[in-house]
Amino acid sequence: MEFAVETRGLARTFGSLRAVDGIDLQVPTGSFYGFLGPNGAGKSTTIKCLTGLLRPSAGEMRILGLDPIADPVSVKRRIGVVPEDLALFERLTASEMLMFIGQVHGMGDETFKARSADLLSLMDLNSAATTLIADFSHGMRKKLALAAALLPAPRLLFLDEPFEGIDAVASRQIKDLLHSFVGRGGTIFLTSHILEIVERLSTHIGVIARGRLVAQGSLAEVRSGAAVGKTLEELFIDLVGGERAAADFDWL
Amino acid sequence: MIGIFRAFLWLRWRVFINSLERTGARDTIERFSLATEKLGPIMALVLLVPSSMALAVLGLVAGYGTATGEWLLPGELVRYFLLASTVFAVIGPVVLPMRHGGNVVRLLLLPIPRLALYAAHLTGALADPWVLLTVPPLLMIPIGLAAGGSVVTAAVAVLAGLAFLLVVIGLTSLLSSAIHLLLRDRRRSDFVMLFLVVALPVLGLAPSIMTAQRASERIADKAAGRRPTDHAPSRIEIAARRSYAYLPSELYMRAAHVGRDDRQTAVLPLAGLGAIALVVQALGVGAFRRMLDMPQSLGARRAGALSDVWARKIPCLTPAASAVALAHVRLALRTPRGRSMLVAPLLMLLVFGLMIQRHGGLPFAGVSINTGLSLATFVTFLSLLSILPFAMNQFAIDKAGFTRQMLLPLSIAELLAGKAVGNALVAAVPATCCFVLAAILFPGGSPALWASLPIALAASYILVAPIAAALSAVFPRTVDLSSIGNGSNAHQAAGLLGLLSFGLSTVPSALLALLAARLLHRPGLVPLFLTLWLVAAAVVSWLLFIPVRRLVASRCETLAQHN
Repeated sequence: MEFAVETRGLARTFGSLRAVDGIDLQVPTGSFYGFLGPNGAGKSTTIKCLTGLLRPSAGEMRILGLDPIADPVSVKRRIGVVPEDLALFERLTASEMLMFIGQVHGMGDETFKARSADLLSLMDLNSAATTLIADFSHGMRKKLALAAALLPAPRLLFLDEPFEGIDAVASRQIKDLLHSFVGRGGTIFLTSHILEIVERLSTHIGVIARGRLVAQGSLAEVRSGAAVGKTLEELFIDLVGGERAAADFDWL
Repeated sequence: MIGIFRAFLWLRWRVFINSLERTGARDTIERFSLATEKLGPIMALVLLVPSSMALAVLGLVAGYGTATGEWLLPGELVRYFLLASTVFAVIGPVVLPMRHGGNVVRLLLLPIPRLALYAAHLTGALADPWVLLTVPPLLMIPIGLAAGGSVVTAAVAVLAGLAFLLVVIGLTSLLSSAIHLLLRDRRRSDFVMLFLVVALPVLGLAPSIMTAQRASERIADKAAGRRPTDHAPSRIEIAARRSYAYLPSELYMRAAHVGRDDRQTAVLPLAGLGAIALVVQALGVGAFRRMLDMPQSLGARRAGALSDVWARKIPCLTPAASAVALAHVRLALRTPRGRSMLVAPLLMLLVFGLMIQRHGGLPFAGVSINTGLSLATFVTFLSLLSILPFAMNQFAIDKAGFTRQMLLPLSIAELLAGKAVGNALVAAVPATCCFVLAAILFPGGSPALWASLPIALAASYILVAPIAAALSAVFPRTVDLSSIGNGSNAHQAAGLLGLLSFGLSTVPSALLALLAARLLHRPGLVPLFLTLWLVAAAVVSWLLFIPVRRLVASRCETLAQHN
């Protein structure tokens, strides 16, 4: 099997904290990979390592067959990212932001215009195309970040909580678009707290807890180890050991 | 109520201490960078104790001296200190980093009455350094007066001191609220901040401008061997002197000084001070209520259609580097701090040009600017210096945009080239306008020297560009380019070292110009010498960029955190 993302012993420490503790990811090419984990498990740190924002403390990575440490520019030419903090230029307009992305990717003028028109229309940002991003709502920023990730037509998308703060209509359209992207051979690496979304969209999942990968494989493979009829939420809680007694405060 | 005040005091104290303690630094360089930035506030805090004690002693001596009629100087010192305190109460909330009104609005979620919230807001102003320093002399003057035997005046001074304190904290609170109201709308905020950024330096020049005519007349009288002419004060001067008497600091001094001999005289200034305190507090309450009631205004604005100018590629740069440079220029065009860099040199040209035309010149920092060439030299180098807040913090000013650049197929070399060209363009726009205008308005002088000026500027900038990149990488600072003063400045260390490097980079050009024009008496050689220096500077710069690229690459992870 060919992997779009493959890591071996990937680790990242911050002082004494091992945020990512030697994980071996295998994301098949053409899959929709849902990366799950409780808060502080190391999801965002893993994405940051994979996209070149953080240098791993140990381990190896291959992104689309390339080494992102040795050849970061070639890797970045092939990927699109919606990072945790969206990473937008506050003082550019939506159109200018996309133009910046297009220019850095060396995109031709006609290609840029056609793609940005499609994306702005899909994200319902046409009327806000000449508004400064500083004046955007959180949902609008999220949509623009998605548009920016899709603009260069990447082969691999890293999406960190892409549906958070997006309205139902746009969310539906984006999901359809992402499905069609995967259908055409693209790969998506997605983190989300909304397990229903992951369950509905993903073909493969990986579960991280306390920096370690506790489960990985196709949805069917991961489910096969659990009791029949368990939902992804129940499975997830079993895997990360999050089952706790229900809180019941008599003063509340 | 006391519980609420205690909670507010604790909150302010913890926020201050946490800001000093928690660095969140990822490596030694960042720890050093953050530590140097915090050195200023810590030093100020340390100096506050002896300063307060010295001011308390000054107040005591001034009070005693007033009562006994023996010493007048301490009283005069107190007078100027109180005047400075009043001025700071007005300027402080504008220039210093803003006290966050937004936090106050969030406190409405708690069960606190609005008036208690205002009282807490007012009490918060007591922690401002200029107010903290005002309290000791105001406390000690009455004690000094009483010790000198003027018990009645001491009692009046207590009341006047209270009224004065209410005026000062009221002014601080009123202006904080007013500024918060103004700045809630980003567009209006940008306009107000740009106005202030441009107006404050001009205000700083105002005394020189106002006395320029007298100064030039004195110089002319001296040159002609005449006695200096006595001038009757102008109407503006008379009005200024009259209104000075009604300043809160003056009213306080009159109440505290004159009360001993004539109670009637003390009553009037005391009543005046009380009335001012009442008005200021009433306005303060009104502005504060409006701040709480007014919903957040976004005032979404259009930036116009997507201009083709920004779609172009800058020659000699890769598309990626060109995109970085253009994004950098747009940042300058769309932030008050950036716009001020473009406008301030032109404004200086206007002011100095008027002075040259009307009075034959204007002394500035010990140098007389009296010819077109000297004016062009001054304002073009000012254009270069004015980009310090951008150039010396070139990565962190992008905020989240820097992270975006790290996610894109952009090499460090392209990033640095884009930033260097972007900064050059930001400086070049006002410098070129100033140069052309100065040449048109005040022609004359050696054409060779005029031609040398752009070459000298280019050589200086080329030499400083890698240093600016290195300093920006080592001393990144999260800034708000919509604010003025410290809030939008580069890291203090980067700013200082940057200023020094700019200064040093001009030395070779100046020496070469002096060598050709003064020693060899051949001004025509200056452009040639400077062109050779420009080539040498370009080589040095290219060599310097090699280690700087490695430095920036190693710092990218840290820089991406400065959102």
